[in-house]
Amino acid sequence: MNSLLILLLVVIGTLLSATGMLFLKFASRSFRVHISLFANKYLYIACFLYALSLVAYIMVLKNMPISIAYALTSMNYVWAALLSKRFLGEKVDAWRWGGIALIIVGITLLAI
Amino acid sequence: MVARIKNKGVSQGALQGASQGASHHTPWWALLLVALCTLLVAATHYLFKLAILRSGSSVVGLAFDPYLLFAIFLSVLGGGLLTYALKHGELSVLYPFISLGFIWVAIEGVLFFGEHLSAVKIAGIGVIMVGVSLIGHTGMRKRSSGGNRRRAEHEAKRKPARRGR
Repeated sequence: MNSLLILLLVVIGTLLSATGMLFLKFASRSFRVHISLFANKYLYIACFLYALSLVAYIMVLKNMPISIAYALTSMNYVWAALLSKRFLGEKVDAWRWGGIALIIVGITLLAI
Repeated sequence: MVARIKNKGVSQGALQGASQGASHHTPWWALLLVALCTLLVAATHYLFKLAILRSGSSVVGLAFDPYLLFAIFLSVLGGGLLTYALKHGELSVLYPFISLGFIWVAIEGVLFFGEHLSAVKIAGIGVIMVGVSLIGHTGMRKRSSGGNRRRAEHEAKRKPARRGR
């Protein structure tokens, strides 16, 4: 598989997994250990998104050394920061932007 | 739990009974738990790769591969434990430990799967680790800033009954 396609898979897979985390956060708002857990639709959406991201990750892992593939999943943190800023109103300060920038630099180094 | 009580003993006084509990201290067990989680991550990804390698091109074989299923179980377990640890410690202290996982996985790639890492790739992994550590830094600034501590003290005075939530 061509490396640009793999990178696209990484982008999609990490976006799916970060969105899954966002829904897990929504689910956690009404979380308690109770039978009603099975009626929590956010939980199902989260599981579904995680499952999709796993498929994407496995496709990546199939075509790439594990040492690189796992490091590329750090793009998760970038999406998580952006999504939590957009949908949860969390603040992204200079330190976090710096971290995001470094992760992107690192991913670029791994991808070239 | 013991660690949390100990922490409170050390910080008695200003923050006594603050609802934030031991937030300005990271209990040793949280560090240990995060480190353990990174090992779980390494195990998980080892099993993923093994399952992929041994199933060849059979999608169904891969989907029901015991290694894969066990890896999914481990990653859910790891996620739960990590969330628990992050809840009880400072993100800025714990996040750098999370990035230990990158080291373990890189090492197992080289040792067990005969992968080759060039200097550029190693640098890339290092830069990512610093980046992940920085992302956690927010937690410390937010929690240990003067304003927040004052707010915690204020809350402690208001609600003395709600200790160690």
